[in-house]
Amino acid sequence: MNAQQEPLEIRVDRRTVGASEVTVVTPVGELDLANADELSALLDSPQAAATGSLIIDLRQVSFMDSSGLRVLLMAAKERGPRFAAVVGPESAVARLIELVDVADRIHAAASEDEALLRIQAASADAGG
Amino acid sequence: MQACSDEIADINLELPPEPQSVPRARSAVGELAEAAGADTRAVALAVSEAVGNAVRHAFRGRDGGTIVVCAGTEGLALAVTVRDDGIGMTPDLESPGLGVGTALISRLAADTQIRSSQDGTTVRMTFPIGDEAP
Repeated sequence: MNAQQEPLEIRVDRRTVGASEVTVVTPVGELDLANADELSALLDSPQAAATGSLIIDLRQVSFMDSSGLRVLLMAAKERGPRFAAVVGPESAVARLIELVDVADRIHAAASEDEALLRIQAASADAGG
Repeated sequence: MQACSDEIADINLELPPEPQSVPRARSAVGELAEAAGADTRAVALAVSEAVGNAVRHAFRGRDGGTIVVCAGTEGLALAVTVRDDGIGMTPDLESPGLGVGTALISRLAADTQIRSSQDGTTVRMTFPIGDEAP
């Protein structure tokens, strides 16, 4: 933890799964009240919304509080089964998710491959 | 607003009610927690939630205010107090938060005391240190 919080870096990539495209958003740094709005704004942007399906990879988030978790829950609510979050085992993020007991609600996966498979299955069920 | 008591004055921060106060408080108390041998992640999350609650809720409809964060060791514990001079704990139907902050603090700290009045809110948390830490 630094005395001055480092700016949140957010990377955006695209993956192709079958006939579908998935947006993968990777925040890097600490996620809290001071910067959760940045992630929220990006998720609402055309850049992230274009594919309809979204993965947030949290493995490079060194700290997250309930402000960050709220952004994830909102994204999961909006996208339903076309959303998944990748969470590193035994990380600070994993501990928060366990404490609040929302792993199922954010469709937590241990790897990007697992998250992609979940979304692929959801797309197939929905006929897309 | 009253300063930190001498017993827990290793850290004495006066912060404005703005979002950047959250990482500032977390960083300072987190470093102390690490040096004291406390569960740094638990302390960091609890402090983030307590200061975040103060920033979000304590000064609704008011200009300005102060959040004081005190921390220090007390025997085999790290004691942290987050105090504000806001409006006290009142229902906030337009809250931008998840509403889990206080519950999280209670689960993370070994002991939690919350006092609220029209003069503000004080959250006092203790965490085991050294061999007592999980």
